[in-house]
Amino acid sequence: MKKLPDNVKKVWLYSAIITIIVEIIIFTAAIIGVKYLDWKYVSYILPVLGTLLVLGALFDMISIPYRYAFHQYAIYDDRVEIKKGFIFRDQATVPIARVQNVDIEQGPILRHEKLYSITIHTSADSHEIAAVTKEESENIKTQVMRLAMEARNAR
Amino acid sequence: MQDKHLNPLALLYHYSDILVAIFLASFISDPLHLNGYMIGTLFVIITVVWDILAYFCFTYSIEDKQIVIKKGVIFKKVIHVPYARIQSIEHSQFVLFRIFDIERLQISDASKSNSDDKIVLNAVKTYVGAILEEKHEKYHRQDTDINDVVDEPELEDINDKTEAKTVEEKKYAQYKVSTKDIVLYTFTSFRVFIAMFLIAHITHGAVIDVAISIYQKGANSNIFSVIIFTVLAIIIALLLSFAYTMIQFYDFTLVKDGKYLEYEKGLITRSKLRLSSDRIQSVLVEQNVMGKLLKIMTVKIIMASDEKDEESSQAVVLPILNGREYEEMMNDFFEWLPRVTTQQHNARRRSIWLFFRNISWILLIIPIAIYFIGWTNTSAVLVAIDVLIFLYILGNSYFKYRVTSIGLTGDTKDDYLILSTGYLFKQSTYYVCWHEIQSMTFHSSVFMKRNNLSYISITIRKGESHEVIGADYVDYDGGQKIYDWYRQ
Repeated sequence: MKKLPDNVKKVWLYSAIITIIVEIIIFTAAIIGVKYLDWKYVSYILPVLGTLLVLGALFDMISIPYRYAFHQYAIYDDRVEIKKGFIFRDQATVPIARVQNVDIEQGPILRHEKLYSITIHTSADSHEIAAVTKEESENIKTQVMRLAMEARNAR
Repeated sequence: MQDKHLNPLALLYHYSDILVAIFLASFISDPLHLNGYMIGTLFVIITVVWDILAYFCFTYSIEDKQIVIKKGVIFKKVIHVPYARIQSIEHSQFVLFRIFDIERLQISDASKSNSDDKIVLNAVKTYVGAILEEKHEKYHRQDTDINDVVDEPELEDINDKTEAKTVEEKKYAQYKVSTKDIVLYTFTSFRVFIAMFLIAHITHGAVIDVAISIYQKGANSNIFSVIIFTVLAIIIALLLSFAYTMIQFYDFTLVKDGKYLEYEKGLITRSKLRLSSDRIQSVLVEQNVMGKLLKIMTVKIIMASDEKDEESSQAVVLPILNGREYEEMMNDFFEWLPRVTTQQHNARRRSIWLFFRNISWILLIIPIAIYFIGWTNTSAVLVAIDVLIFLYILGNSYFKYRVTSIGLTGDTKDDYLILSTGYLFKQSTYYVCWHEIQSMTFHSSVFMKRNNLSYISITIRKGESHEVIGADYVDYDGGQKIYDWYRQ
């Protein structure tokens, strides 16, 4: 089982911080806006919802090292395995023969850290590897697609 | 056959366009201060002219290797479908069109195109369907001969193991539904309640108002009329749901011919579909509480296709079977499906509480509402409803605990996973082959692991999309064993 590159922790940290900032801005604006509208129940709901969301994002931030420790992937000759989650632990297996295509994506934060995220699609669902380095992403793509071709031709 | 037009009767399928035109006209004439009838007539004329133009622009050609469809009034479009790519052809025939020997063909291929490119021949002579069917079969056979060398022996292999003697006879089998079966199906499914709900919904509660007024009158005069009304309502609902089932399943016939399954059904519109058993993603056996008591079940097959509708993604192949017939029919139609279970892991007893807990927040809604709004006249009724919901959830949790299980028919890659779940008092048992499982996920949170529980979910193809099915709260080690089986 391989771990993700080290600087994915930074990516998660940045994205958690951005989420918290955006949530605080939106909810402060909304709470101020609602104050002027005299909406009885909404004025309770918004602060509670806002606090919960911010706490959720904070928990995401704190749990980064644990998530990092548990997010692993492995590519074997016949299957791809992905492990995820610290509290809710998921292990998914996708046989190579079922793989339809492999997507490589890069958002702004990932680009800053020169990382790529990989999504493996079967004909029914998709599985994500949160971040890999550039050469690793190329490797995975070529390896998985080659193996998928072989597996399909062998059938 | 080159550039043939459809039969003019195809225009009849566009009757809904006229209704839409009339509706639209009534909608816009008022704010524009125009004569509604004039606008309506104009719209209808435009629609009819457009439909006729569209009819003349629509042609189909049946060529050697492909079917070509040309359509479009302003934007011309040509669709090529090679016979090898056709998955299935659905024939449906409206009862009045039988006189003209005309039917509707819906051709589904493996593509994921949008609904605009669906290949539908609204009205063609039945021999066109026969020609297509023949060509499709020919190309399909060629295709399998070249590519799928592994597929065939795999099926034969299972045959050899389980019923080596009777393979020859099993090439052909037939099942027909009788009216008695349909009656049984109506009474045991919960359709009656759905029908009652629909009646109340369509009439915007008018029926309920009448019922209440009769109830009030009845309560004043005598209890007798109330009982009569209730009985009458149930009988009407039963009859309606019987009629509905009858229209759907009248003279349902399933025929197995080699590796093809072909079924025919319907009273007003008769539809016929022939499909290869290669396309079956999973066999689904459904049984609700009533069915469990009477030992009857429904068998469906889940297929991958390019359409969303229930018919082409989850077709009912054996509407009603009793316990005795079940074994026999499964042997006849799905002889490749092994029915020996080598290992089975049920939900743990603790799951009754867990299933209950997961949904129990619903119970809190009414108390919270009462807390905020205060105790009013209706509150007592709401509390009673809450108690009923509580009992329902409790019953459902117990039912789920009883039916949830996950098992295997063997240890190799050609074996099947048997996954059984419960939802709304209905047990669904899926038989999925290793090769048809797109991916498997093994979930176990920290808390679940401490309690030795796990959750296994698999993804299979269904229709143009997918379905996730899972067995909740099974034994951790059992779940791990299933997961290891899939990882081999």
